[in-house]
Amino acid sequence: MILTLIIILFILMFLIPFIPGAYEIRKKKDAKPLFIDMEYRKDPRYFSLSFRKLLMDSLGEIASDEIHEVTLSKLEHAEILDHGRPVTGTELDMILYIRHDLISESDVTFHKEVYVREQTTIGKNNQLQALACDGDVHIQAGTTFFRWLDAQGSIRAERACSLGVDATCGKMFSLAKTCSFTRLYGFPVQTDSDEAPFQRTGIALEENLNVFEGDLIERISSDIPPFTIKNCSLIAAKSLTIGDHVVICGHVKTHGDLIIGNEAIIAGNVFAEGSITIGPRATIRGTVFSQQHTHIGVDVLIGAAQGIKSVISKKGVTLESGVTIYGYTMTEGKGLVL
Amino acid sequence: MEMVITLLKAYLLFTIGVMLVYSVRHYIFTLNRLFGEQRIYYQDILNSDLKTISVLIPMHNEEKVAANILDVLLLADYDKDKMEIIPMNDFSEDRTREIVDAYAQQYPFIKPLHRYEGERGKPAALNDAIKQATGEIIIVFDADYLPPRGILKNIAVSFQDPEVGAVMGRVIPVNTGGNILTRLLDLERSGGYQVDQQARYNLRLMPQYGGTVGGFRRKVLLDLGGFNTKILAEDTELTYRLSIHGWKVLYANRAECYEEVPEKWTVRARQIRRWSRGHNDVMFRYFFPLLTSPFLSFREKFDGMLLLLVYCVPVILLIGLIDSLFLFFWGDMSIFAGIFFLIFIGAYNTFGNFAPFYQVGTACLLDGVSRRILLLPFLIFNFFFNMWYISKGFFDACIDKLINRKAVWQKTERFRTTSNVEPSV
Repeated sequence: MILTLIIILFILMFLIPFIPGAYEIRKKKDAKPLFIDMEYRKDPRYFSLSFRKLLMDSLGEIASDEIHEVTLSKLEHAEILDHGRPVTGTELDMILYIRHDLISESDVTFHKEVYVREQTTIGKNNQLQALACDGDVHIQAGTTFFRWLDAQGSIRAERACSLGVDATCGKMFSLAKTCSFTRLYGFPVQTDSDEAPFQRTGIALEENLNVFEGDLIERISSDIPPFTIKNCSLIAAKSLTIGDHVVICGHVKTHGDLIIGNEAIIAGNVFAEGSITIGPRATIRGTVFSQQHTHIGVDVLIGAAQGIKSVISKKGVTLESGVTIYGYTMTEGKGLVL
Repeated sequence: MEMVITLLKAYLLFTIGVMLVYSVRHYIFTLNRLFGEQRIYYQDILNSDLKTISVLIPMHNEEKVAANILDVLLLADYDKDKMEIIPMNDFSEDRTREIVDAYAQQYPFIKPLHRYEGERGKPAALNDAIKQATGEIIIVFDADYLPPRGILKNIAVSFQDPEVGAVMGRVIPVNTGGNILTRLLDLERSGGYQVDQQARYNLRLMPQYGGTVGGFRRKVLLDLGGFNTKILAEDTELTYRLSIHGWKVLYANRAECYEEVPEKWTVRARQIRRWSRGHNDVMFRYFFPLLTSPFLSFREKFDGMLLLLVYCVPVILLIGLIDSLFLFFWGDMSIFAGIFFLIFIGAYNTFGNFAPFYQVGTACLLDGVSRRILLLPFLIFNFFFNMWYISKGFFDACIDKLINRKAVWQKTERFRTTSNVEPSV
């Protein structure tokens, strides 16, 4: 009798851990495949394009200036205006759809998204959640975006603007000193300079610098002296310093930090496990990628007018004056214009 | 007899040592994913000058799935001038040829390769296709896979890094809800990719190229002599061949793709036995070249060695179990005594035995799923099932090595009846 009880107890104890799982197998409450967005493709302007589409689908054909109900992620109210002229200190609580232009005075707070079909001028020290504009955008000093900003035309951001998690445009994106950002996209993205633009000469002007691919790789363990020319890609097991005026017709990869000298030219991409420091007036035709920080010096050019390249840096990006980047800049840390 | 018992005790200690090493490895990977620094992958790079690609799809009697994969690849956002799709019809006896040719007539960038003579099997077919391919990068999907629109760019972009030789994406079972086997395989895959592979990428160790949902440089492979057609695990072999020659293998956790996992235990048994046979063959060939490669750091070599031995461990454990039974019935189990040994046993029972379960549980947590964690105790059945068939695969590999026998490729049975995928989260 006792033995039977012990055996039954043992079987019960053995089965207990399996009971919740058996219940789940039977009920299938969490039995669907993990979600993959089959339609996902990277688009730096995704936020604004998605917002525009949702708003326009929701508004349909609008004839009158009135307040409409729209469904974005939830049910919202949108105010339709011909022109937006909010005065100093105004707080706006609805989504705004502005058929023509928006000119705000200082210290205006937009608590919801704004869609402007023509030009936009944002006054000093405004606060916005998100702005989509079909024309050009001029942002005066001290304005903060909490989410995103997009313009079909150009964007000009004055000093000390905070550009949210995503700031994109279809034309030139110019940023004054002390602007902060997470992602930038423009053709090009350019930081202001007090000096006359640096004039590149010789090989740095060539749009299609030759990049030697494939097995033309040199594993390098010492720094590259100034004025060296390399017709191959370089891989360094540790940190690497590329001297001033060096020309590399290939890619560069380092497993430590990378310092690129003044007026150096790199025809390909630059990858580093450590931080990257790009010296003044250097030219990099390819993408710049760092698992740490990237510091881009005065008058550096990244990419070329006819293509899209990226500056990706996990922990932060700092841009000095006169920097030109054709394409995309992104960091998980803080982006700052010095 | 005393000598035999001493040997049995020594082997038991060796088994405990191996278990300890792999338990620590599981914990390092799991803790890295939970609290460690995560390296970013290259998916955020936008670059208008991506390389040309050839998408290879090995197909042997794939009439159930051939149209599905071609349909989804046609939607890919890769520049069509820079890509070609090569369905590799390898001795199919069903309608695969007919289906593939119909697509090729409509889309000029689909360039089928029909093989009805020569060597059979995936590595041989890949070698022929790579010779026909014109892309700088080869991307491979098995025929039962469903690649999302952006995955080709996601994989191809990493070859902007001049040191990258191969890239592996993440595989997610599409038929998770099929039965208990598919549900357990779903958990295994989560642990393997979301934690194991990503942690290896974070820690700059050796992520593994898995032969599908991944890509490699065509010229590099040709320079290294193409795939070895005698090896069943051509993907593992490529990982090691690239690594010991100085190329890096990356893992792309965001390059996710659905696959179909076996729904029958017999099919799973054949699959895991074949993997074990192939993997152990690679282990025999690459153990010493790995240790002597001038391009790998100490920790890459150490991790590579543990990965190479991963299909050996179940054999070691199985023999260890038998060993412990012998010792128990001989009444000679006592090896060590004392409070520290008691603490060790307690600690191992508390943490060591559960290391793989923590890993899978963490993967579920990171994936944002919850209730499937309830199935964790059922993995014990998979453990014994895998131990048995992996051991059989190990002995297959040993016999292959001893008598120079050539392994024959076996296709995994497909179960799909519909292409619809209903997502859960």
